[in-house]
Amino acid sequence: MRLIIDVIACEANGACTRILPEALELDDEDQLHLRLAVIPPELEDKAERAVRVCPRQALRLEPSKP
Amino acid sequence: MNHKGTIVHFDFDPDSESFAYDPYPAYAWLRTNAPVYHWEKRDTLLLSRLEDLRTFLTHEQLSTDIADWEHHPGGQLFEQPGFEAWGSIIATSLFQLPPADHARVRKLASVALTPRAVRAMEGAVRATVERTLDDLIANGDEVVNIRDFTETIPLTVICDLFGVPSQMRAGFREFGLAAIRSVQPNLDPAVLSEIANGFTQGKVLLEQLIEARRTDPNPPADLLTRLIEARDEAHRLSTAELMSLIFALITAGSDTTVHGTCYAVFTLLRHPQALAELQADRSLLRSTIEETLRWDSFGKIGLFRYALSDFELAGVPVRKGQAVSGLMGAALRDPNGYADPDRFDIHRENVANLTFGLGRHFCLGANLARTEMMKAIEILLIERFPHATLAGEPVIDHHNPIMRPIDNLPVRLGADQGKAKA
Repeated sequence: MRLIIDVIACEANGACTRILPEALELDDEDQLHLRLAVIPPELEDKAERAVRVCPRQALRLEPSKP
Repeated sequence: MNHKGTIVHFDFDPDSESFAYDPYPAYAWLRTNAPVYHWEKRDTLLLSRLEDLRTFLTHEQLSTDIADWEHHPGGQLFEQPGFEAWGSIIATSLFQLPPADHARVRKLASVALTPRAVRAMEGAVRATVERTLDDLIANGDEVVNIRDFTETIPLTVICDLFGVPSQMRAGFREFGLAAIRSVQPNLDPAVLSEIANGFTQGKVLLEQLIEARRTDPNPPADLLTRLIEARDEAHRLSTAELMSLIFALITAGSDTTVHGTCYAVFTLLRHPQALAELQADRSLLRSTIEETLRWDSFGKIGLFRYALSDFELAGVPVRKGQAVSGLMGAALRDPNGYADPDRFDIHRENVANLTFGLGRHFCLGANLARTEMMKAIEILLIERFPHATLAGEPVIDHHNPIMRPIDNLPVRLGADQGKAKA
């Protein structure tokens, strides 16, 4: 799976980075960065939770392109 | 009839005194028996389950624009003398703008209200809370009304953020109260006229505030200056949008936190064991605030959406133009979202609090509101008055149609432990 960030919607609340620091990082200018191009299976549960808790619903999870 | 076909007598009366003091039995009944309840009196569908609230808040076919309410019984506010001038300002509010404009206008304010930006304001919030508390105890009263303490903290913080001169602040509070009252339909003509007056005076205040800043030879580098520059230089904001955005932030930022903080104090004083744990370990402050917001939500029926088409919600048909409302207080006690939901538990993790909404209209000021509440509780109940106790039952305004505000919360403060040493 891969994570997609809606950069217009993201308001740097940091809810996702607390759950999934392995893949998501906020810089000191409030920009959210994706650290992993592909979310490995062992992180998928956490990724789903990160998508769910985002107050702006600015993340989505999609199947990786084959 | 409920879904099993049994006739049940359920008297839903959110304007009653008993509902204001304890809405939870009614909320539990609705969640179990009628999760999509047709409230005939106001022809509104009411939702009470957590998952349905999530759907409601993020639904593409549910609009925040009251103009999409085809069965609107009111509309009279716009018929009040002098109200025409508000038409363009209301039409450019964040609840009315189409998606692309909404995103552009919202971004201008949201960058100033991220958790990182709000952390930089913590010292100023602390100073405001301390000053407000000093004023509260200046008379030396043994018992105080905590509402007097929570009443001015958010207004002062948001007016500081916008550099609103002190002589304008009471006027902005009146303006905010008028705006909040206008949310409700079926207002009688005398009230409508008062609200229209509040808006008319508010518009003058907004114009004075913007003009004073535009002509300031040394404008401070704050949010107001940036928003005015966005209009005058970058042309990223129209005059109506600028006024609408300042209006929304100042008025929204000056009321809800008043009630949230009052409820947080009430809830903690009703749970002395939890308060003692918090006093022993301040790292619990954040989760405590989240839990006070979940456990006793001051909202009643104020969260409205209007259907843009016919569709089904939780198996119930919604017709185009119909009003739908989410009962946040019911959803936040849903056993399908929270284990043992009626228990007040400051150790809950990942509460996934919907108090501030979700998605496109998620509360812009959520981080600021949380910080104000944390500082108020930390200074009042941890640092200064750790032995405070309730001195009687609170007075809750049961006539308020959209929330359950505490008008009087009598508290015996006990000995003052003095200010924290810097």
